[in-house]
Parts: sequence; structure tokens; C-alpha cells
Amino acid sequence: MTEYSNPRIPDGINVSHTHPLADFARLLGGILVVVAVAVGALALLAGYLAKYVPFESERAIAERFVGSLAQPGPEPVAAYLDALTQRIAAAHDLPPGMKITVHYVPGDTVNAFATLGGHIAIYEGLMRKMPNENALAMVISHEIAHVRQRHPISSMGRVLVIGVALTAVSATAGGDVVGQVLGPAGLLTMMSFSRDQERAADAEALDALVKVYGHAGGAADTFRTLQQATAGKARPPELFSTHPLDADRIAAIESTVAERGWATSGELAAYPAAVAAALAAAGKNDESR
Amino acid sequence: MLDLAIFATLVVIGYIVGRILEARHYKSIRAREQDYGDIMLFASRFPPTLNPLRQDLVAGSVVVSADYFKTAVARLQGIVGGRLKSYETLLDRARREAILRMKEEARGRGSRMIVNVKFQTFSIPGRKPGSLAGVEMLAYGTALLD
Repeated sequence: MTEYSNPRIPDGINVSHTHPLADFARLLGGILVVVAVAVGALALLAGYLAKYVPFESERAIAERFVGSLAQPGPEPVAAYLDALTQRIAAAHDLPPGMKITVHYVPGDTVNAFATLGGHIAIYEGLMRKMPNENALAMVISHEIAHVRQRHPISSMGRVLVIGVALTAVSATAGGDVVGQVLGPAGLLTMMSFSRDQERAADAEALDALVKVYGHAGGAADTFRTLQQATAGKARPPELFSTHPLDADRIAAIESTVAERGWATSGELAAYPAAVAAALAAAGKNDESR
Repeated sequence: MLDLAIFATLVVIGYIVGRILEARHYKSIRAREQDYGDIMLFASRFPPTLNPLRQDLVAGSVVVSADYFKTAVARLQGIVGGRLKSYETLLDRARREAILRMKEEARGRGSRMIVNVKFQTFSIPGRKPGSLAGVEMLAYGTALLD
């Protein structure tokens, strides 16, 4: 048996020598990038297609959640706000069937937002901060422009796609995102618009403002006022957290006004005396609380 | 997020514990391979010595399971295809362990040569269809006694 032998097999010839963690990181990274790109593309497509959802359907979706907003505001502020909104909406050239519903939200918060179904919310704090009706009209007009350009529904489409895609990775995380969008709070919090959408809304808002008042005075005031309002505070009002920088917006507004040859100033409308008094009283009430 | 956290924890535990156990197993394999080096293995069917007194079937088998980390890497690899590197050490250990157990049996019978050595694997299915809970590696051959 001496002519037979088993040579010693060198150790580790049957295994790869790359570090397992390096392998894991490379695989996970590569797959995540591909998935992120695919989901991003799908989200963009959903955002784009969502604009073709009929407005009545959008309104039906909003109907389920809008209850939390639909509290009657104090008179005469609510009636004034509603009349002003309808006046501005008329200047927006809304497609047939599109209806704007404005909601007054009490409290000190300086904020305003547009959401599904043509519902827009204007906070008491914002109304108090605005120096004149024109500045408030600019904010309302901006939110109406979001609605007309179907930004809330495309934002929802985008977030829904991302949420559903997330469920593939984590059922709870994806469920959270979807729940946030479709849940009652989602209607108020999840609407995030891109900078481009904000710019487009600003441009349309300005156009409508000029149609209503005959000049663009007050538009830049809106953002200047909000800028000052935030200067001393640690936390900026929510209206801004997703918006383009105020300075940029003011510059964009001023250049648009100059380009179109609109009057930069004119007679600024004040709040009706009764409304101003009611707002001031509500403000004192908030402070004492 | 809880399910992601559980997954990440299992991956980390699987990686750390798996590495420690694997290093320990390899150390033991190397030592025993040295120890059983005198028993020779041949894949050929016919015994090199013409008339051995006795021939005995000897076998050694081991059941191995992958850790969570290896499974996770393999699952990711399965999406894009390619070498399942994370399972390579696992099967390498299983093969060598099965041989060692077979050699142990042969030595117990006083044999120093095993011919016609073959391997067989059986996969043990997991709870989810198509998943793998573990693999059995069986080595068997004919031990020659003279």
C-alpha cells in the first residue's frame, strides 16, 4: 500500500476569500439603488398621472377626512374669508366643477395650506400677521393655484406609491406611510410640494392677484411679513419648511412683476373694521390662554 | 419599522455568532484532519490491494444550517444571480466534517483505507415554500480491512 497516498489538500481552496460583510454591503447597496430609482420613477409617473384623476373623485376622497377642518369660524371673519376666497378663485379660471372651500383654523400658528378636494385652510395667526387684505389675498391665491394645478392629488399619488413600495421592505414602515396619507391626519400634514410647484403656484397667484386688484402691491409684503415673523423664532412656521427661501421668492415675484409691466404698488385694501376687531379680540384671547 | 429592526438584529446576531462558531469549527476540523491523516480515501471503485480480507460500508453524515446572515446574503444574491459565496464555507465545512466522521468509523473498525468514496446531499426544506432550513451532507465508502 506504500505506493498510495493522499496529498494534503491546501486549506481554503473551496471558499471565496472576499469578506462576507463586503459582499453583503455590495449586494444591498446595488439592489437598494436600483429599487430606489425604480420607485422614484414610478412615483414621478404616479404624480403626473394623478392630475388626470377627476376632480369629483378627489373631492370624494377628501370628504372622508375633511371633517376635522370643517368647523365654522367666528363671524364676521369666516364670512369675510369665504367671500374673499371666492373672489380670488373667480380670477383663477378654474375648470368647470372645481370648487374651492376655505376653512378658518383658530390659534396662533402662522400657516396656510391646500389639500385634496379644493379645501384650503387659513390660520388665524396668519390672518393676524398679514398687514393688509392684499397680502392675505396673495396667500389664498397661492393655495388656490396649488388646487388648480392639482398639486395635492399628485403629492398624494407620489407618497402612496412610495408607501406601497416600502411595504415590500417593511410592512409596518410602508403601512405607516400609507396610513399617514390616507389617515385623517395625513390630509393636513403630508402635502409636500416641490420647489417647482411652489414657484408655479406663486406665478399663478400673482396673475390672479393682479386681476382682482389691478396691481401687484402686497404680494412681496406677504413673504416679507412672514420672513420678519420667523426672524425671532427658533422654529419657522410650517408654511415655510417646504417652501423655497423667502428671499428667492420675493426676488422671483419682483422680477415677474417687472417683466409683465404690472404696477408694483397701488391702493392696498385693509381688513374690514369688524373683521380686524374680531381678529384682535381672538388674538388677545389666545394670549391669555 | 419594528420588522426591519428585528431583521437587522437577527442579521447582526447571525453574523457575529456565525463567525465565532465557524472559526471554532474550522479549528476543530483542521486538528482532526491532521489526526486522521493516516486513513486514505480513494474515489476509485476498485480497491488498490487485490484481496482484502473484508470490505465494510462506512458512512459519515452531518446536518448543517445556515445562519441568518448567510441566508440574507444568499437571498440578495438570488435576486441578481452569481456565486452564493456565503454558502461556500458552510458546504466546505459540511464535506470535511462528513469525511472526518466516516474516517472515525473506519478507524473504529481498524481500517486505514476507504475506496469508492461518494457524497450525497439532501436539502431540508424550511417552513416557507422554496426556502431552505438546512442541508445534510453524507459521505460514504467501502472500508478495506486487511
